[in-house]
Amino acid sequence: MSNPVLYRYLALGAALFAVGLVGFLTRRNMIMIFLSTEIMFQGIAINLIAFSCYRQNAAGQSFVIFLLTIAAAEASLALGLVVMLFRRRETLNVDAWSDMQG
Amino acid sequence: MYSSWTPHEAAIIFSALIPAFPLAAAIILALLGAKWFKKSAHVPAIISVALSFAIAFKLLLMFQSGQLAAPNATYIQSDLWTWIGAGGFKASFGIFLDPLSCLFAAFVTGISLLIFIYSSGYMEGDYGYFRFFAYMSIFVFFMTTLVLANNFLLVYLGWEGVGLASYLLIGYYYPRPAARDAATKAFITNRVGDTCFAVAVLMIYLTFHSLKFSHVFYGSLQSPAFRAAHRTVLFWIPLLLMFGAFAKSAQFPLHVWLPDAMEGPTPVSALIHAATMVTAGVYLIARCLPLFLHDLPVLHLVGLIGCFTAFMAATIAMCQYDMKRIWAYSTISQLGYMFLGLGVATGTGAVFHVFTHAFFKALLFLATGSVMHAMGGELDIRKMSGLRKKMPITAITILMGCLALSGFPGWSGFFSKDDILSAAMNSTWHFGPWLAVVGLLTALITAYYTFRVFFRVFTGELILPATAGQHEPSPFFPPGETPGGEYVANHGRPAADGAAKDRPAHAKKPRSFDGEPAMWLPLIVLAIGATFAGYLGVFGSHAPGGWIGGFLGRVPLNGTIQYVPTLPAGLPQPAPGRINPTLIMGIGAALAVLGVLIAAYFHRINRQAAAKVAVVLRPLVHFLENKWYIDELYHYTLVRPLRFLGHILSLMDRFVVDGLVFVIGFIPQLTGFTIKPTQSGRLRYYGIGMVAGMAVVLLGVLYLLR
Repeated sequence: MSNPVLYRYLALGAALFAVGLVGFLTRRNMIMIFLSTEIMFQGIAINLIAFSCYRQNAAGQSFVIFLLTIAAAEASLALGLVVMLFRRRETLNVDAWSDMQG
Repeated sequence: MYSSWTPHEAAIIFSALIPAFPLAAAIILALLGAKWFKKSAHVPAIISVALSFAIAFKLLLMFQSGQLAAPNATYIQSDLWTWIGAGGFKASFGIFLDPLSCLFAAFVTGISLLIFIYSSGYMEGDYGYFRFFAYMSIFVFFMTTLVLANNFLLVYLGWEGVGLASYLLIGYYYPRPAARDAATKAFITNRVGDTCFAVAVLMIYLTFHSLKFSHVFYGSLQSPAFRAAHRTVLFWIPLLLMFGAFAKSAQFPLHVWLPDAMEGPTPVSALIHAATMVTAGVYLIARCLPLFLHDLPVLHLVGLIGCFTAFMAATIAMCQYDMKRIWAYSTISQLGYMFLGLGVATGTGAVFHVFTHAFFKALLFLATGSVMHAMGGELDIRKMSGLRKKMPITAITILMGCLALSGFPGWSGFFSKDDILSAAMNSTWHFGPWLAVVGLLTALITAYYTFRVFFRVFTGELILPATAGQHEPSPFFPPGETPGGEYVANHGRPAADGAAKDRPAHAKKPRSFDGEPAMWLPLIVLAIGATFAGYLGVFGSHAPGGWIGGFLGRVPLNGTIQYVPTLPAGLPQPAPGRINPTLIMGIGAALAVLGVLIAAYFHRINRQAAAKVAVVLRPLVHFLENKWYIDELYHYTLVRPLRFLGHILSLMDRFVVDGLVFVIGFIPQLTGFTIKPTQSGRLRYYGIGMVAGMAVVLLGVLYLLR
C-alpha cells in the first residue's frame, strides 16, 4: 500500500462492498436485498475507477460506464420481477419463496 | 453396348437380375405398399417374378442350345462385386451358372409366378395384403440368390434369408397364437441346421482358403494327396452340410417344423413345399456332391435318413385328418425320396424328383387352398365329401396332382420316383437295394394316403361342413369388428350394413366354389405340369434320363461327363443293369395302382370298413395319429428341461442380479438423502454459501501466491 491515495479509494470500495454484502445476507425485504447488491456494484465500480486513475488507463473508466448501463437495465428488470413476485404472494419477504428446497 | 457382350457376360448380368427383380418388388411394397399398393400389391410382385422367370427360362434355353458351353467347362461363373473384403478374406456377390442352377432358378421362379397369381385371388382383400406380397417377394429373392450364388457365404445368405422369410410368412396371421408358435418352431428348428451349415462354411474356408464353388469343387479336392491330408475335416464338412440340409428340407429328426408351417396362408405352404424353402437342402447336397463323394459314409447316412424319413412321414400321413397336414407329411416323405436318391449318388434322379414334385405339390396345396376358401377354412377330411360336384375344376386338377404324387403310371411322380428307386436298386452300396425296397413300400403307402384324401373329399355323397361358402374368419380382428370400414374382417368382403354399394355387381351372385380365374387358372397350368413333366425324364434326349438326364448330364463332376458321378477309384464301381430298371418300373406301377385300389375300397366303396379296420388297429392308428410321438419326445427331452433351466435362471436373475443392481442403486439414494437439507430454498443461505465459497477460493489463491 505504497500509494496512500489509491489505498483510500480502495478502502472506500471495500467498505461499500462489505456494507452491501452484510445487507444482502441479513435483510429479508426483497427490495432491500436488491439495493444491497447495487451497493456492492458501486464498491466494485469505485475499485475500477481507482485503478484506472492510478494507472492512467481509460479502459477502467469506460468499463465502469458499461457497468452502470447494464446495472441500470438489470435494475429495471429486477424491480419488475420483484413487482411480479409481490403480486403473487402479497409480501416482500424472501423467505416466502423457499419452495425449491430438497 | 449390349451387342458387344459375349453370351457369357450377358448370361451373368441377366442372371443377376433374377434375384434383383423380386428384391425390388419387395422393397417397393415394403416402403410404399401401405400407401399405394393396398389393393394392388400383387401387380409389382407378379411382374417382377414374371420377369425373373423369363430370364431364367431364357438361360435354360441358352444352356440347352449349347450357347453357353465353353470348351473345357460347363459352368460359367463371375464375381459381380466384392461383398465382404477383410484382409485376405474376400466374399463376392457372384453368379454361378450351370444346368443345375439354371433348372432350379427356372422352376423356382416359374412355380412362384403361378403361386403369386393364385395368391392375388386367394388373399384378395386380406388385411396386410401388401405385407404378404412383400414377404413372398423377399422369399423368392433369397431363394434365387441361394440357387445362383457362386460361393458358400452367399448361399448362406440366401439360406438364412429363406429361413427369415418363412418365419415371417408362417407367422403372417400373428394374432393367432398357433401361427406365432409355428413360426418360432420353424425358425428355431432351422437354426439348428443353420448353425451346422455355418460351421461347415467356416471349415470349408479354413480347408480350401476360398469359398467359391469353382475353387472348392474343381481345385485341390481333385488331388488325392490333399484329400488324404484332410481326411478328418473332409468327413465333418459333408456331415455338417447334411444337418444343415436336413433342417431346411425337413428330414428326421428336424422335420417337426414343416407340418406346423401350414399355419401360414395356404399359398405360403405351396411356396415353402414346392419352390422356395425345402428344395434348398436338396440343392445344397446336389451342389456339394463332389464333397460327399469323397466321404461315402456320410452320403450313405443321407440316404438312410432320407429313406427312413420317407417311410415315417408316409405312415404318419395315412392317419391324419387335416388336408394340409397330410400334404405336409407327404412333402417330408417325398423329400426323403430325394435324399435317398442323393444317398445312392443319383443327383439327376433327385433333382428330377424335385422338379416334378414342385409341380404336383404346388398344385395339391393350391387346390387345397381352394377347398379351404370354399369351405370357410375347414380342412378336416371327415367333415366333407363329394366336393367333385361343387368344385369340378379343383377336383380334376387335384386328381392330376394326386396321380402324380402317388406315382401312378404315366404321371410325373412315377418317372422321377422310379429313377431314384432303380438307382438305389442298382447301387454298389449293399444297403441300396434294401432302401429301394423300403422306397417301394413307401410308394404303396403314398398311393394309399393320397387317394384316401381324394376319395374322401371329392367323391361319394355331397357333405359340406357348416362353414361352407363363408369366408375364413380373419385373425386380425375380433368377430364383427372392422378396421375403419375399408378393410373388412372376412377377407375384405363388404360388411352387411351400408357397404353394399362398394360391392361389385358380380359379387352378388353366388360365388363359384372353384374361386375366381386367378385361382383356378394356375391350378390348370400346374395340373398340366404335374401330368406331363415326367416325360421330360423319358423323352427329349438320346441320353439316359431323357431331357433332364441329358441336360444335367452336361454338368461334369469329378472330371467325368456324367452327372451321376463315378465313385472314387478303389471302390467297387456300379454294375449297371443288375436289376432291370423296367422291372422296378413295373413293380412301382403295380404298387401305385394297388395303393389307389385299396384307398378306393376303404374310402369310396366301403367307408365303414375303414372305420372297422381302424378299430382293430387301434394302437397303431393312435401311434400314427400322434405322429410317432416325435413332438412329445421333443417336449420331454428338450422343451421341458430347457424350461426348467429357464425357471432356475429366472430366479437367479430375480434374486442375484436384481439384488446387486438394487444395492448399487441404493448408494446414490443414500448420498442424496444425506446432503438433501443443504438445499433449503432460502436465498440467504445460498448467499452465505456463495460468500463462504468465494472466501475459501480467495484465501486459497492468496495462500498459493504468497
